[in-house]
Amino acid sequence: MIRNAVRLACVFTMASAAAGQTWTHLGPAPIGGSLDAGRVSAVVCHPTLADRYFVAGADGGVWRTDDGGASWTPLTSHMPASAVGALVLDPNNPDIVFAGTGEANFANHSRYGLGIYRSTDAGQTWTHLAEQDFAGRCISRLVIDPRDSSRVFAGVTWAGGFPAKAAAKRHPQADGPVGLFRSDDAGVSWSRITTGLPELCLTDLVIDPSDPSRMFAAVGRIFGDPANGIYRSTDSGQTWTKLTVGLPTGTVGRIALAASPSRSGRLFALVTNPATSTGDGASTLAGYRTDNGGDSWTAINPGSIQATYGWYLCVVGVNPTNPDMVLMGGLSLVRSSNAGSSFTNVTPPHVDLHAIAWDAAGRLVVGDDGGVHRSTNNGTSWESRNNGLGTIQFYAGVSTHPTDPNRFLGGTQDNGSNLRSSNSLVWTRVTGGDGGWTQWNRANTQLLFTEFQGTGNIFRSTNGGASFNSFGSGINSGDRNCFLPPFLIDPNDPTKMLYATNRVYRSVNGGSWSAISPSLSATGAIRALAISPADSSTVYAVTNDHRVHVSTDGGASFTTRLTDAFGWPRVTREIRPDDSDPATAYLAGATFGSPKIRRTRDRGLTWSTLDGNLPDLPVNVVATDPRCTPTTLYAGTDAGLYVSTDDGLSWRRVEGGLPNACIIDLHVETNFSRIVVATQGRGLWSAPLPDCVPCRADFNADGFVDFFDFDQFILCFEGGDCPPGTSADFDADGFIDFFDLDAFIAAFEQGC
Amino acid sequence: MTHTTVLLAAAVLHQASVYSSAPNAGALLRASDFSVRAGQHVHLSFKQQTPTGPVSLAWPHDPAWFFVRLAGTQHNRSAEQAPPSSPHRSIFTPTGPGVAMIGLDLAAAEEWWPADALAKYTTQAVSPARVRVLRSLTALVRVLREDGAAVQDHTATSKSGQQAEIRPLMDPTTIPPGGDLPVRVYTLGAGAGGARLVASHVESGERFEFAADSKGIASFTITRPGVWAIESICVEPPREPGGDWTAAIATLSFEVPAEEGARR
Repeated sequence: MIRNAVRLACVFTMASAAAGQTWTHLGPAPIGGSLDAGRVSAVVCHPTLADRYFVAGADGGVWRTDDGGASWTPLTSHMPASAVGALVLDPNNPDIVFAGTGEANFANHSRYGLGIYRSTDAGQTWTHLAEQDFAGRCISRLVIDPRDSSRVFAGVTWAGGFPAKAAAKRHPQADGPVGLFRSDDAGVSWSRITTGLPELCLTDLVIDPSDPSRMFAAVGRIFGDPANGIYRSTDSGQTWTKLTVGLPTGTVGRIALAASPSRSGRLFALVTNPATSTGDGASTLAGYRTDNGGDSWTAINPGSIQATYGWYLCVVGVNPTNPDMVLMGGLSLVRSSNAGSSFTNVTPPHVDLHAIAWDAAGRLVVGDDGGVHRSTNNGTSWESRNNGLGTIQFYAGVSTHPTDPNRFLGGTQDNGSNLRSSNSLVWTRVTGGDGGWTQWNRANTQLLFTEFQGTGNIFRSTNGGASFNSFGSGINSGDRNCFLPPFLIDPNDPTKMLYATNRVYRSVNGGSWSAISPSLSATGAIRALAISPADSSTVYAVTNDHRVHVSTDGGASFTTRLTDAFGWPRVTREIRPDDSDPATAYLAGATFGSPKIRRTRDRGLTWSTLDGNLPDLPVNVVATDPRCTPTTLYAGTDAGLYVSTDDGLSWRRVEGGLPNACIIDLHVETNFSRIVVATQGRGLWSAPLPDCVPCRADFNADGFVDFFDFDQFILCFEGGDCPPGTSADFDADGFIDFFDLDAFIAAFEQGC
Repeated sequence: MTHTTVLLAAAVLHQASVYSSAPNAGALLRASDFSVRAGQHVHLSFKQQTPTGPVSLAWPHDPAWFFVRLAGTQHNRSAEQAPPSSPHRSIFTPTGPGVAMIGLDLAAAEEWWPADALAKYTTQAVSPARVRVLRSLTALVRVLREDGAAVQDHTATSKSGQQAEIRPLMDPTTIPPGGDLPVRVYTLGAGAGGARLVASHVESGERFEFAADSKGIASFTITRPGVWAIESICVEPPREPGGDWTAAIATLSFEVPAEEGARR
């Protein structure tokens, strides 16, 4: 009793002391002005609480608002997968929430999932289900039988990307079964439904609101397949028949479906043309409507609303009370008030639609590449609802400022390149498009560089980001690129820069670029480029045909040193030269089943792995803390940050509030004694760097002093498990007593 | 920015048109002022170019889409809600500061273009042909706070989703003279590779002709403050024998501030 009281008092005492050692979210949340957040892939609204919505960040987990989007709370930061693409509330108990992981939008940045999450308390706590059934793939849709809440159906797809399944990152189950699955025990166990359905990606699924025994499934492999189409079951999903009357006879691509809740037998479908292997060609084929439960369909014309990438954008919604009002979303959002006879453009402030829902007050809520937008008049007018929704997807190449810890520059998925210039969650967009690599000149901080997709689309600011000018002169626009080419300021000579397409270019003193290397890839491009901070003549490059190349003449010529550097096809920071030894570099492995972290000490001639006990997770980026001996290693993975203080022999997961997100970039900044983490889906984070000297208050030895240490010490103090090599006898006087507690608290409050 | 000055925009645009030999070429969405304060009415008008010069037109009664986007909000007006015929309409009154993107998609039109107009876009011999024309017009209007201060808003760089679109990749309402303006041209949402562009400075008549790369990206240098108009055209031959040509024509108008007003 006394001990508990002391413990409680300790908790309150230590709260302030430990607060500075946890992770801090740096934004953007949202991007200023346009008030955009990162891509939202699913939206569900509570049936009676008008201001409660659940949304899925495409790679940012599940979020909830209870005030209609005025503020948001992340709910699944601790769960193993952050890519989420499907949400459903139990129609009989809206506190029960299912989230399907993996984002079935088929882009390179639509990552694989790890099964299904279920919450029975409106998202406060979650149970991880079905990892063995669905890992490595994506859940496109979840539906619950309103007659029996334990019966749940899941549409499953392969992960997307170009080349196909690139977003699966070679997950061992990436090629596992897809299609329609059913659970009769609320998601615990699953079986695939095969009768009448092909084993192809199921892109949408509907239970007829007026007759729950009748279901509709959209089979929509994005590259096209003769078996793609709309299927119907009239026996609660046991057997299926492909529907044909009025539907296209040729090969189609992705399909989306929606049923009218207020008119029995009425459904709408949006059908896309098949995508080519490079992602082109997937324009809108047509919309369709049935008024007789799928017996026959009539073509309707929403217009060409999906550009050429309908594989990424394909969603339909029917107004819950007006069966004649249907919305179809792609690049644009269009609305028909006459059951599809004509459509009106009602696009929200950010294009690229992924989710359509109505809240309990009848307001239209959509998820798009700019977050959440809401309309009180079914799309005639819109407002952003993204305050605090920290779902921005950074790309590699985030830059920090050499002297101002509040300043950052980073490129993001479909939300441009953004500048943080003060201690705020709100950032400023400086250039548009898909923002990629950035650089901040450390000798002249007025010089900033950004880019957007394509070859040679690099821009320079000479006034601290107030304005930018083209800086791509001399770069051959016909060169191959990896969507967002890497470029660098020479860390030893800030007047020199390198830029990488399928070859390396150099610019000196801000002049035009000149190609200095031959092409490093017959078919691909350079996705990672690094100059040794110790010797600028040593340059490392990784091409997206899995090869690592090393130059010893500043990038003019390269020797291929590795041919199995599998990774993500877009720009990365997967190669990290050592700070003091140009022959040493670290290579991250961003795929399952391959080396996670390799090190060379001879410029790539030989490599050793430092994987230790690191789990089989893609590692996207490695960073080092050179103050420590041995060098402390940080690994940014698809599911959080890991640290090793023993040269890679063992790794510990970093806790302290950092979400379990996909880490795409890392900076160890010894000048600010902090580590900065950029995520794809949860924005930017930082935390103080732990001391190199073993810190006794770091009781769980994870590299950070935080409440996890406190909890671990209390557990040990109360007779529970103690970490290896530790004891509750903190003051080493041979007795375990309150003096040990006092000693631990003192160390904890001092930060070590 | 006077109303007279704005009217000049259309004339200059006509002179600069990259497709001036095409019938019914050139159109511009004109704002009464490209820099207003919150609460101030913005009048919009519509002028279309012809081979004989600019012609004032009534506001299109059946636009495919008309919208105003500003600081995280958007108002869409459907065809039936479009303003009735009038050369000038008080279309909107911005309630908050930022950069208003005003967009207008005209209904697709079928036109007969002469051979010389089509010949600019193909190396093959052509004869007069029917062309399906997609026209979109966009204007960017800076909306200042009531105290006259500018605020950041990234609406200008957002993708509108119009059928033909010139999307600035930097906010042209904040670029100082001497700065580059990269844009991306889209047709039906996809990058319009090889699109041809003309950028015109209204008061001086200075103009630049340039072309987009294979992804539809292009850039030019803004040389002076004032009102600018950019026009793009992307013409594609029929995909099937006997089919129609397609022309996607977009215009974008905006005002570049003087140096001291260019900083964010």
